[in-house]
Amino acid sequence: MLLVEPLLPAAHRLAVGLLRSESDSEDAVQIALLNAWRHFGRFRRGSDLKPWLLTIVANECRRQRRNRWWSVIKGPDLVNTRSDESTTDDPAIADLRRALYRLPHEQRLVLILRYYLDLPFEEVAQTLGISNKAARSRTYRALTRLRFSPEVTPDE
Amino acid sequence: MNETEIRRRLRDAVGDARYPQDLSSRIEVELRQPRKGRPHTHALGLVGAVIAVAIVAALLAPRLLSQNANLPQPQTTAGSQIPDQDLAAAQLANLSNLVTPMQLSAQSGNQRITVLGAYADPARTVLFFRVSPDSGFPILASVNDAYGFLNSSSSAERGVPGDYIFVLDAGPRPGADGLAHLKVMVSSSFSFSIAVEVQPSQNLVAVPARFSLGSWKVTLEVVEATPSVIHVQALIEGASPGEVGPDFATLLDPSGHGVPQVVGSEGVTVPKQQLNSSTYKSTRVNDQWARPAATGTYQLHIRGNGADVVSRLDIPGEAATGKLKGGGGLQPTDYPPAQESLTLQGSLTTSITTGRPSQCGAGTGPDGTVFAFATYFQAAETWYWLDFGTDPRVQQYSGPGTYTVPAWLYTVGPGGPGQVLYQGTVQLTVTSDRRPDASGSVQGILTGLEVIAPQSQVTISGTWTCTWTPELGPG
Repeated sequence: MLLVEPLLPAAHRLAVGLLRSESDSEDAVQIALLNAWRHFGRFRRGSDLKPWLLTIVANECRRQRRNRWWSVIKGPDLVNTRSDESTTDDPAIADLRRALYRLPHEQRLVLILRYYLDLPFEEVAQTLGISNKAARSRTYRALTRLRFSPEVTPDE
Repeated sequence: MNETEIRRRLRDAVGDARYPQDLSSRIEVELRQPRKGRPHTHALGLVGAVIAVAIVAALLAPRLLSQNANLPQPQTTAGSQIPDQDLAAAQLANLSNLVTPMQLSAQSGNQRITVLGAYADPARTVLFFRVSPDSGFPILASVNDAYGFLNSSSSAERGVPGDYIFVLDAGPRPGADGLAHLKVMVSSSFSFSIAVEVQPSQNLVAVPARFSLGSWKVTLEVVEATPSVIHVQALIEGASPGEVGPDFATLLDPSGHGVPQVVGSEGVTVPKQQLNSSTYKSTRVNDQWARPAATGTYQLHIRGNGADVVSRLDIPGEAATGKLKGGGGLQPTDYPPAQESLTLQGSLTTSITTGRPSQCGAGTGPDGTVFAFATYFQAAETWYWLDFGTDPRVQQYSGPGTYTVPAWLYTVGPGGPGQVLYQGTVQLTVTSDRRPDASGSVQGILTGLEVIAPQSQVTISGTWTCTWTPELGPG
């Protein structure tokens, strides 16, 4: 199992960023790893593993969110925010959170990859299967939609 | 607002992600559960995380290999028995005596990995491992032969508990002694040196072998039957890997039933550093199917880009052990000699005065009229196969004249042409195409494929002749 360790924290962090539920995130990571196991034939050696695995995790998270409309709402296992959840949340942070989780999956994903996982744009692009330029553009559009300053220029 | 501020605010909004330290062990327990069925036709079986180790190992292989003195050295013990379940998982149930048994063990910490055996043919390399104590995770290995890293997709299967089969979707290249000498790295902690015989394959004739799928141009570069699989390697010009669907190639038996596919992968044709908007639109596909037991005419369905082409394949039945040895097809010397005056210069330098043409003349195929010439020749006691001919998708053959045509230089195995070493475009001048004799000249440069030597080139020039016989195509 030692061999698996290095990749799990990033996979878990991505799932938390997309799902905001500890238990759902762990489920997503487990299922994603099983999917990776099953579909390893599609992985081309020499390619970069990390984006490939993160793509699978992101797909599983999207699948889980899509299925939620009929899922039982789980208990209060939301991840801890720095301001100890919404009752004492900074209203601006709470607004931002709501806006973030209303974003389309692709836009939320690009922001989570870039700013929650701290990935360089090259890895963001690889994970999304798009060009580096398209990744920057998608980031810019997502930031604009969150009403961050549209003048922002993502730096490296 | 700069990115640091954006990052801070988004992290406040999302919250902390506390990584549960027991997550990996819980996943391990999950993965240890017996697999239920076979959900995918591809060879299956690795956790992505394990892959990282192999990739890192691949990247570090040269350095690690130079540090072998620091690695646990394998020990050899007598006696090796590979369980039938392991052989079946490797698609080698009926080919146990083509597997080279061995007992090479290496230990790191409390973990011991033993290589139980190896099998190789031009399409695949199979390694049997036993892990003690069983880690629950299949082995992923990095394999180098005497010529370098074997860069290919791969997969893994479980055998009996503790046994794992690693399958590389590429064959190793034999050395001067006829054996492939492999350096096998497992993670960065285990290193094995093994020698394995490369079983011969039999070249199959696909008709058509070059065709169009809409705007895509497809060339079936390799169509062969190894003892364990039917292997098709296709070059698709005009398509990026993402545009090639998972059902790009399907093999149907004579009664129309699908043959189980064991490998399906696609990738770009140049190293990542050379990718641009042009080279990205070229894809090489590697598909393999379990070797059918029955002889017959099979159909290779190729589909994509809204089009569909069926190529006919005459496949000999599943090879009995060693049946292919000595050649399942015609040998170079089975073809009548012809006088040639061809010069190869560069990475392969030789003068060809006598060839054994196996294709010669003009003929009509599904895409129109073509002229094809291919000949076996020997250089430094090694057989090669040189193949060039008009491409009807580019230009119809309309009689003697000069044409710009694709050309390939192949290795030759006991079953016929094997792996493409060089390819390029040459100027073909046909002086005479009247049967039984044809003659002409050729001039051009062939470039080594990525897997062989991407920087190498061979210049070809001179004249060729052939005498048509019924064994020769096209017709």
